[in-house]
Amino acid sequence: MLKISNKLVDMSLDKAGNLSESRVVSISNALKSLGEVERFTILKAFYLALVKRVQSRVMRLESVLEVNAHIQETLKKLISKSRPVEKVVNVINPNLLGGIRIKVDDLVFDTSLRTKIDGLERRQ
Amino acid sequence: MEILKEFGIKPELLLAQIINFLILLFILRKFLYAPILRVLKKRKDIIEKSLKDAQEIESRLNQISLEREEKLKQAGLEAAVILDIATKNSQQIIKVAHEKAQKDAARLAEKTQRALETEREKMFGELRAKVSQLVIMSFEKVASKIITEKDQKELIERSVKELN
Repeated sequence: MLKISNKLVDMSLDKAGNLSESRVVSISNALKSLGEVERFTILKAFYLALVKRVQSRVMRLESVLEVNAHIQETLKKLISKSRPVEKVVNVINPNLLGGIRIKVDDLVFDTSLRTKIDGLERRQ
Repeated sequence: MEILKEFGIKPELLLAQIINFLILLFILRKFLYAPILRVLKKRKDIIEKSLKDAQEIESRLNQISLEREEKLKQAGLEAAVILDIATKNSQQIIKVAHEKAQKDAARLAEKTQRALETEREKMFGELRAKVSQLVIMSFEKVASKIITEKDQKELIERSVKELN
C-alpha cells in the first residue's frame, strides 16, 4: 500500500517536481472505478502520503523575532541544496531565546540559544 | 629278773602296760595324729600356695608398675610431640589468620576509599549540575532582557553564515 500511495504521489507531481492540482484530481477520479472499500483504502493512503509529501517540502523556520523576506529567501535557497523546499513558514518562538531553528522533512538545523543551553545542561 | 624284783616291778604287769601303751599308741595314731597331721599339711599347703600367689601378685604388680611407667613415659613423649605439632599448627593458623585479617582490612579500606571517592564525585557532580542549572535558569530569565533586537538579528545573520 505504501508503494502504491508513493507512486500515486509521484504521479501527482509535474516535471518541475511541484504538486499539480489537476493531476491529483485526475488520479482521484481514476480511483472511482475501483470498489468502494479498495477506493477508500487507497484514497486514504494516497492523501496521507500527499500530505506528508507536501509537509516534507515546507521549511519551518522558528525564531524569536520575525525573519525578513530576504533572509527567508536566502535560507530557502541554502536549504534547497539538500532538500526541496516549496514554502517557508516563519514561526515565532520566544522559547528559543535567540538564533533560529529550521526543520524540513527529517532535516533539522538548529542554532538557537535554547538548544545550546540544553546541550550545556546535558553535558553536566 | 632279780633287779626287776628288787625295784618291785612285776614282769607280767609291765608287759600288760606295754601292751596297753601300744594299743593306746595305735589308737592315737590312727584316730588323732593322722587327721591332725592331714589338717596341718593342708594348712601348710594353703599357706605355701598363698605365699606363692602373693609373690606372683607382687611380681605382677611390679611388672604392671614398670609397664605403666613405660607407658606413661611413652605417653609423655607422644604428648610432647603432639603438643609441639599443635603449637606449630596453631602458630601457622594464627599467622595465616593474621595475614588474612590484614588483607581483609586492606581490602575493606580500599573499598571504603573507593566508595568515598565515588560518593564525593557523585556529590560534586550533583553540586555542579545544581550550580549549572541555577546559572542556566538565571541566564534564561535575563536572556530575553539582555538580548536586544539587534543581537537577535545578528544571531540570525550568523546562523545564515553558518548554514552557508
